[in-house]
Amino acid sequence: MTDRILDAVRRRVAGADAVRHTDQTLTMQLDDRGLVSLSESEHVRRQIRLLADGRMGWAGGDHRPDAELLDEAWHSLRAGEACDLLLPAPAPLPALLTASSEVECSGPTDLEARARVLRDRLRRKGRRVTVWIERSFGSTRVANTRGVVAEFPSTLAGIGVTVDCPGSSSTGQRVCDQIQGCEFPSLQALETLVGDLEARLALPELVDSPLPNRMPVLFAPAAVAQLLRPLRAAATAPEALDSRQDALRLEGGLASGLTITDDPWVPLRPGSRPVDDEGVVTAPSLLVSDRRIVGRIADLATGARCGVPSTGHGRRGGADPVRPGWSNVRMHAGNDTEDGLRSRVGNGLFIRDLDILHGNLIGGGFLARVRWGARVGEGELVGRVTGVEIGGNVFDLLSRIVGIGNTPVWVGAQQLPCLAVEGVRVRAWNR
Amino acid sequence: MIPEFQAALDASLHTAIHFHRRQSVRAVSGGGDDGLATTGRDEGGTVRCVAEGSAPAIVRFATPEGAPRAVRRAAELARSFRREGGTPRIPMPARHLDRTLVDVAPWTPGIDQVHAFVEEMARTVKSQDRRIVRARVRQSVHLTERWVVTTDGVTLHDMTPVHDLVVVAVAEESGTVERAIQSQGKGTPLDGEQGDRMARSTAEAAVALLTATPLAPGRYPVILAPAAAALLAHRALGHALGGAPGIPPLPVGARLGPDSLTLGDDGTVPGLRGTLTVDDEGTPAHNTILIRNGVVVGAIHSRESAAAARDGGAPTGNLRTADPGTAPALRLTNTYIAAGQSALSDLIGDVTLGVYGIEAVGCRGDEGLAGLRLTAGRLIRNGTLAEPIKDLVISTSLRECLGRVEGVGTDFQWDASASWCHGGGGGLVPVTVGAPHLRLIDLAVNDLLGGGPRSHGGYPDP
Repeated sequence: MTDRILDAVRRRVAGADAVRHTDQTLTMQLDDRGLVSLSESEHVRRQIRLLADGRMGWAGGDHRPDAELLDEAWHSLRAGEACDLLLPAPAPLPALLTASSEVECSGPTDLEARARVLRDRLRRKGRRVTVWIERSFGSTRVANTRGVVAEFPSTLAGIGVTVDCPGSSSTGQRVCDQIQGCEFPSLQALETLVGDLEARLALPELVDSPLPNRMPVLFAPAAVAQLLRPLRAAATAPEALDSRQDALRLEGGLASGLTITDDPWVPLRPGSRPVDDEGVVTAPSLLVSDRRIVGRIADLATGARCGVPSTGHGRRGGADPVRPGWSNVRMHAGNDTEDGLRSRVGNGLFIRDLDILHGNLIGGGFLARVRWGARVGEGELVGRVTGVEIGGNVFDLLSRIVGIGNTPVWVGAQQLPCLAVEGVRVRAWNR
Repeated sequence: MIPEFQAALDASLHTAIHFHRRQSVRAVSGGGDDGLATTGRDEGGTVRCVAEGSAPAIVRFATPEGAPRAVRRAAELARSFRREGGTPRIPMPARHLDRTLVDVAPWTPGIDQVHAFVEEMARTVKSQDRRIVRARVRQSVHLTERWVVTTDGVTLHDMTPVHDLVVVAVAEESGTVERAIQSQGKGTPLDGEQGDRMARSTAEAAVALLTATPLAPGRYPVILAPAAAALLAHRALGHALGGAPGIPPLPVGARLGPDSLTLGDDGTVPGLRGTLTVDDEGTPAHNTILIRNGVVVGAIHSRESAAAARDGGAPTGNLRTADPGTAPALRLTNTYIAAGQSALSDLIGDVTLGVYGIEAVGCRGDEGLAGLRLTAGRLIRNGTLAEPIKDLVISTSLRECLGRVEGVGTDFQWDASASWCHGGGGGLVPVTVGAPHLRLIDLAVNDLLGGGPRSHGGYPDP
């Protein structure tokens, strides 16, 4: 369908490209009484972009007929942005595994069985356990008038759990976790998740435990993912191209040993893709090294506006315009074991989940609530803390890293280790 | 389409078909050769089937022709998976509504017309002051048509137009960069004169921020202007009372504030963005009081959530579909803090040093938190409004925040901004918020552990 729509405009424009994303998704939620809900959906999202007379116009949508899309794209072109865009020529694609046949073939009964396993492992008296599970499969096809025609399949699978223990402490306790990827998690991965949840549930709550204003903090990978948001923005065009912002942010430099790459070529990860939504072949790129940001990501359109080439990070679909989007962000492993990191923190805080309350993508300033955290005493977790906030500047925090974990784990499309950071501003507040 | 959908229903179990079609015209301009304009049509529906002793099965379909197949599939899934106790719901009478009387022509302006309008407005913003370095004007016009057919005998078909205009002005002087945003959203188009006024006032606001001073962290009495108080009402309170998926509602009977505090959600006010005749399961829109005299007295409910709550609560007409093809969920409509008994002069008069918060740009409120971000305000000195201040952040617990409400103004007003609620990630629905002036005592402002906001940027609300 993408090729047919391009054939219809080929002779009337300087260039055109089209992308089609399909997906079939099945989502299920289970609680102690059985199935809560089950939903199934199917999408065929297409977008066409036309280039003529130095202008750009586009149109897109879900299950839309060709004629209607083309008509809208012509209208958009007439009032469109002035943009000098050069579409990519065909190039060889890397061989890359992006889909799991097991996920593609799974139906509601398979999903229910997997969800039940997790629910039943965590079921206890006095607990409410809710499990969700989702799988989707589909494909991405991109083509342009210069001859690019590329297509690849994709699958996604995720399972998550929330355990509520209303009477377990003064405020009750809720713990959540999830695993997402292109494949269903292995039994071993589910066992690790169960073990982690049980350990968190078993940790007593520390009531009225005073906190110093600054303390060393061990951030788990899920919390590190939140902290990286300004850094990722800083490496995304067009904002990244403002060198004044860099100077402001990175006055003291980032911590040595911090290396971050964007890697679309990891097999079977959610951000993996051989070609982006504009037909540009992808490649791994180095983003942070030698204490500074050394790489940027850009799509064709944003790159054209800013005068830089695309890095193969164009994302678009439906009626949304193209924008730069990350593939798989990987922070390289350090040398510290988890025990070693806790010892390094000594008397401090362990933060597993973080929720940014106020933040600034440009400057890096933030205030965040600790969703799940624990006090560390003499290198051991001694009790759960509630009602704790941390704040400061992300770039400042990333310059004060004193330890990087040696076993990075995947959090969705990010592979991140634990980070030990000294001198983090901390505050307790009362509900 | 109603007869076709009725024919597709499976009468052997509870079936509901929802179908939405949204036509849009969108244009953005910076006043130069940098405009974007697009039109679009987005449509989709869901079938929801509940069998005896089962959980709901929901199947999405893309075009009206796909409804019969989706019904068959949803029925098959509903019959295959059991749930202990099933999925009870409050019974309701059959209801029919066909409001196709909206004259569609005025609500679907051409792309050229919309593009020319935003281009002219962006030029007006830039021409206001030499310090305005950038302008961005965005207009979106949506016409949403919905069809609902259920085995309870509900048949609905109506149309809702929404016109949104957002104006951004960026001012720069001596290395200081400030940004002001204003928006307006309503059911009828903005005329040129209104657009001109909005362009001028946004530019003036950006320039005024250049000379405004940041506020030193500390505890202050805070007077919130109606727009800021209304945002707090919706995001912090409304979501905590059932208006956001995934957030457990606050318990009925909990005291949250003083006797002067009353909060509700009213889907019946004519002409507002959240106003409905009936919701997506056919329940007529209500004025639902959520907090009366400072005490939680209710929550918003669908037929199923009311039955599950087992506390005598009734459906409140709040089941709304966000994007076409998504399942309807409990959402707020027009949330308000009711007028109190204090004149503005009484709220401000005895304040020796305090904060008057004018423009709110963000508010978080879940799991007991209330965070409000204000871009512009004035210092209050000895009972009068003094110098302009900027970058104000209030971060506290919901209970602390409401416990510090000391006075509620008489000057209630609905906010005219283009407000959309994304209710904890449940998709966008148009809403209106309203409140009078609100006085809070001894509130921590800008106490951010060194992570204070800057004049622009910011994490998007999750």
